[in-house]
Amino acid sequence: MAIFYQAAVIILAGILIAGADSLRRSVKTRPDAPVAPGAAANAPALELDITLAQAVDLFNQGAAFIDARNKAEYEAGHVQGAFHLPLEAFSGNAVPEALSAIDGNGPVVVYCAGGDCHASHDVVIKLQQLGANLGLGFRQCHVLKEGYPAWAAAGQPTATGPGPLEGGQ
Amino acid sequence: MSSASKTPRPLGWLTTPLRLILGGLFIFAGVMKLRDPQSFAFSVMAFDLFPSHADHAAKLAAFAVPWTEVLAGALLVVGLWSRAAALVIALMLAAFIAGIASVLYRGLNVTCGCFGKFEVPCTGPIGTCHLVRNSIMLVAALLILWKGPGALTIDREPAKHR
Repeated sequence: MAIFYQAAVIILAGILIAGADSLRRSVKTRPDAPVAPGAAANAPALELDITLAQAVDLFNQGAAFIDARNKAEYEAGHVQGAFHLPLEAFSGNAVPEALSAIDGNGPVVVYCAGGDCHASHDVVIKLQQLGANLGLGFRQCHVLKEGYPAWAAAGQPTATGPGPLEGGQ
Repeated sequence: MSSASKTPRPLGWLTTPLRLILGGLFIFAGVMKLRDPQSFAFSVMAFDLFPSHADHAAKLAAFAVPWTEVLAGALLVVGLWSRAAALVIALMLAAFIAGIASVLYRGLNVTCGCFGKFEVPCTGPIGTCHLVRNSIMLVAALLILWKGPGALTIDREPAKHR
């Protein structure tokens, strides 16, 4: 029976230390809601998750698009002008190079493969954390829930090959 | 001493190296997750095991899993409460296997996050490799639980590795 008591103590100790650690270092499981651009911008306030039609509107207004899928998927086809910025680009303390090319004070649309894909939400959390920590903005981030498949299926502008920072588009 | 007690226990000699390797792996896995808890939180959420209103449980799991891994792994390595530590690790591995099986059943494209960014020997999204790897570790934990911790322990329980 001692084994079970000892096991319970180990698990309880793990949970208690975890509780203390979580108070010291917070993690996010969902992105923050985007901050409305303000009445002066004369733009409608959008939710975090946006529809294809709303994404097309933002594209036509010149919003930055970020593709959170892997490199092979990106090069096979992406939203025209979208930057390739998968979650792996944020590992460690490095600031992804692409961030210097993106206007963090404007709207940003992140997408992945749609469906159960979590990568776009995860990238938005990373953008918001870097934006807050380094003063880069990224307070108007949105996620195209339907992902790239819906964008391509709707006949919206796409490109293949490397991204804008690698000589492509 | 009876003649039966002199008979070497099958697989008993294996528990000392298994204990050290398994404990070391769990310390490594826990430390890698604790170095970047946000990435592990992403992995936890990607498993889609927590309902949307249970974010706090997911956040706690993002810290509780690695800390319990480090604690149980360290106890296993130093040989203190070894069988209890092996039991905790076996329970965690059983839960991980259930989670992986659930992901495979639902056809989700999820990365493991088990060893932070060092995914060995399994790379890429979760697949049968992760299931096999965790099953092998579960067998090792159960062997330690059954046979005892072996040599080089702080535990005073009778050595059962002979």
